[in-house]
Amino acid sequence: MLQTIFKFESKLLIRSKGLIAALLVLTAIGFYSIDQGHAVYQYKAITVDSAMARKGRSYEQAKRIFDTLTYKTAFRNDIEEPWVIEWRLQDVVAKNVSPLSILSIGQSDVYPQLFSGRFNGDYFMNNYAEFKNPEQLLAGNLDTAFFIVYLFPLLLLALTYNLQSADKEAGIYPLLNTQESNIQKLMQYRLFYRWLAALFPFIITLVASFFILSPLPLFSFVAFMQWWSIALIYTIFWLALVALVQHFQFSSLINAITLAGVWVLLLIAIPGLFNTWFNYKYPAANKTEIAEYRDYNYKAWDISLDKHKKYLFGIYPQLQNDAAKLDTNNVKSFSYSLQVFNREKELHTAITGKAAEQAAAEEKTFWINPIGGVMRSFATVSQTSLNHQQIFEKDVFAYREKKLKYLFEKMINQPHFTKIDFVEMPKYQIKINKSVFIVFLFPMVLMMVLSVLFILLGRTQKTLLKCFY
Amino acid sequence: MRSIFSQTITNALRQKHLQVLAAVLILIFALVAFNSVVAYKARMDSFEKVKQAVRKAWLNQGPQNPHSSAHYGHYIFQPVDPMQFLDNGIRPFAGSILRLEAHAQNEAAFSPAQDKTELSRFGDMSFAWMLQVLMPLFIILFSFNAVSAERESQNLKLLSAQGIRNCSYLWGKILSHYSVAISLSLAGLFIQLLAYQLFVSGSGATYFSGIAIWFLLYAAYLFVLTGLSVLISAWVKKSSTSLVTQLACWILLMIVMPKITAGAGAALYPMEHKAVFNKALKEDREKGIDGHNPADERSKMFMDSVIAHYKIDTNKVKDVNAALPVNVDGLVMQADEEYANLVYDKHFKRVRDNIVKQNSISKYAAFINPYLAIRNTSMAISQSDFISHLNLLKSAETYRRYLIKELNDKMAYGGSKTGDWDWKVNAKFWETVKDFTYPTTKLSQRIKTSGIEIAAMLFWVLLVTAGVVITSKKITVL
Repeated sequence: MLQTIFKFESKLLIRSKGLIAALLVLTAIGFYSIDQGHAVYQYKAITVDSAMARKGRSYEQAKRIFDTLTYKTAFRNDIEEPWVIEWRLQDVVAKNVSPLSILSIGQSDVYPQLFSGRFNGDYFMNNYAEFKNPEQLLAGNLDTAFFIVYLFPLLLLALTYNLQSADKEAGIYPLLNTQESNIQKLMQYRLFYRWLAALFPFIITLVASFFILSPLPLFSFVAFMQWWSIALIYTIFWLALVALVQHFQFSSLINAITLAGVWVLLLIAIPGLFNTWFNYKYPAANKTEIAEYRDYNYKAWDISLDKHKKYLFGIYPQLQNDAAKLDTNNVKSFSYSLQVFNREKELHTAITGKAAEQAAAEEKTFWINPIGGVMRSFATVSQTSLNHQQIFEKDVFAYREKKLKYLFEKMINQPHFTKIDFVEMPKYQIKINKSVFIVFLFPMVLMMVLSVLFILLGRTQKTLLKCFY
Repeated sequence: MRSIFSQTITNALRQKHLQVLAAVLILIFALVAFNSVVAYKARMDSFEKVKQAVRKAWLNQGPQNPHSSAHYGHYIFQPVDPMQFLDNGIRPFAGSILRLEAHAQNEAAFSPAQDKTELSRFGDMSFAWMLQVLMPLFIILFSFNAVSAERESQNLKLLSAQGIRNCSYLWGKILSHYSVAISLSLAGLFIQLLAYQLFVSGSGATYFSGIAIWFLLYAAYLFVLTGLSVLISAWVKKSSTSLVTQLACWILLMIVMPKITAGAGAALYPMEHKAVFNKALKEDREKGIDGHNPADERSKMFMDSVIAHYKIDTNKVKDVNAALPVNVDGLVMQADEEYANLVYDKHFKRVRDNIVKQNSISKYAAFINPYLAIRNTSMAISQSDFISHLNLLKSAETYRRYLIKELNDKMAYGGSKTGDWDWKVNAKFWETVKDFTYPTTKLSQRIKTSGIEIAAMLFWVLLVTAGVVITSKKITVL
């Protein structure tokens, strides 16, 4: 029977010019979505590559200075001072550009990709931030995640809204009912076929994306398959919803209105209302602290030497034993750098903490807003989520702190900063953070299971009623 | 036409699903009003607080070297306009804080969206967003079967037999559906303004003309959409086909196309990389005078010209710096600034012009998509578009130049001597430096910036009118 139904449905599909056109248009949009993602990926990759190349050149230049450096006097050469070393190195750190970000750009076009790696590189004055067009950010990107999340349900809706009702309205349904085969099974197969047909543009997109993504550095086949598995689960979720609506056997018009209503509810109304609520509950971090940070920075140097010592010895109690031997200027500069850095880190933690709170609260709403869970899963696998950005930024702070302490400890404990010290300076390692995404999909899977159970229960009830009467 | 109008209105008022839909819409309007009030108040309070704090910090610097103060700088924050209560536009994606300091022209940093997750891209419900995206959906659900249902129920035949002209019939349908849509929108506007008046302040009257024009454009937009919905309903034979077609058009125009036009803008006019920008900037700046390096060749030449200007004989005078009535460091730094300003103007203009070019795609696409016409015009009138952001950046830069010149002039002519970097000005000096005045754009100017979009909206109104005339000639009753 399956073969016959598939043949019949294929004939219907081929005869329907409108549907063929829709499939082709959607396939074209699929290609466009990959192209758009690829353009954003390339821009980021070029940004990172050129920054790394500049950093490499600065490192080599500074290394050459240390290669020929002579330590004749008790005084340090300028290049041995922590600030001068950092100025020479022009250290910059970059977030790795995940190839899967081509599929879901998410909010990563808003997040900065590069930060200064200097211990005194002001986070709040990120000169490495690329120029952005706010109007373009407002419109957002038509990436593959968007293509699947928004357009797949619409295509499925257009293909299935009159699955049973068209036959009823044309008067064919009673004829089908008299057939030997189970009409429900027949409808299931037809629905399954149309779901497969709706998948066509997405399968083409999958294949195309594989050929584009696989040659890229850091490409992971497992992550790629995870991403597309999320997409598949999402399409099954819509199949279950359509099956549920079909189960009620409404007219074509009511089916279309119901399915469109569900689409609007799940993709526009619920996420929009939640965003509105979250913006109210978690307003954007107050930037007044940034202005206060400037004041802090300006005043930190001018505090008394005793206060500088108190601050420094609070962190390094062992230095207190040799306090008399320590150079006053070194104590001041070490204390000042630590104070400013710690204040900067404190502010950053406060700002990211608020954002993380919102992200955690959003996750709780996935039980009402399952599409949010899908978007979060896509972003997590693609490493474009806020969580990934925050992990990266925290890593940058940790790296800068390590370097600050390394440079100033050398300055305070050694007469000279040697070539070996230079070579052994901490270096930033790109980390790939893998986060769990399955939990975000639980609400959607539950809704899917409930839909199927509802359909099955309905059928059992009908069969039982038939047996009784 | 009048009978069609009243009959459609009566039918609409009787339909339970429409009553429910209208009630839901009113409820959402109220929710949006509440959210807008809270968000607007928070932004306004924060803006006022931080503005005053920055000025206070400036005034309380105490005795200080003017150039240290120039490095200390000033902060400009994203201002809040009452019209943004209705349309927040690009504000969540534009930098919210701008540092003004000596030797550098910075970009506004830290957009509110930077702290948000990917879910924020689902959109925030502002009143403008509701009128732009949700009202069209209501119109579709209300009007998709305006004509097709009557055709399916054979009513159209009866009406035709009664001698009703097609043109009157179509206008009756359009105007009746439009009056429902516009009444709901007006109710929504009333709720927003009421919330503003009750909880924010009573200054709404100042913006009456702005709000009136803003809403008038939305009225035109809703007319276009109602007209198109009724026309599609007249063109297709089945109501279900009409609904699916209109929903497809809705997603294409409201969701897909804005992204495609934005993407096309970025593809046609690629954004310059910051590294390339910085390199070009650095190269040009190196050709000028270095305000912080007296050993610099051009600085030396400048010094010689000052000595010549004040007719100091270097052979006779032991200490040239002491003999000069001015502090040359201040003059050199100002010369450096003035040269740097030319360089910044050249390079920032290139980047900003490119962004304007990128946005021009969606500007002209308004002739294909009425949503883009209303989105851009609404943002422009609410001062939440890119041009308004650019005006702020330009005003801030003008202020930076004024501020730094004041400080350099004080350094040069305030009584200090060349090389005396420890010289400090009196604490009262800071009061003589004017505070930054946030720019406001006249309503006429705001409207002028969206001339193309307004022309596009007029084009759509005419197109719908022409569509009614043509359709009325071709409409079939079967």
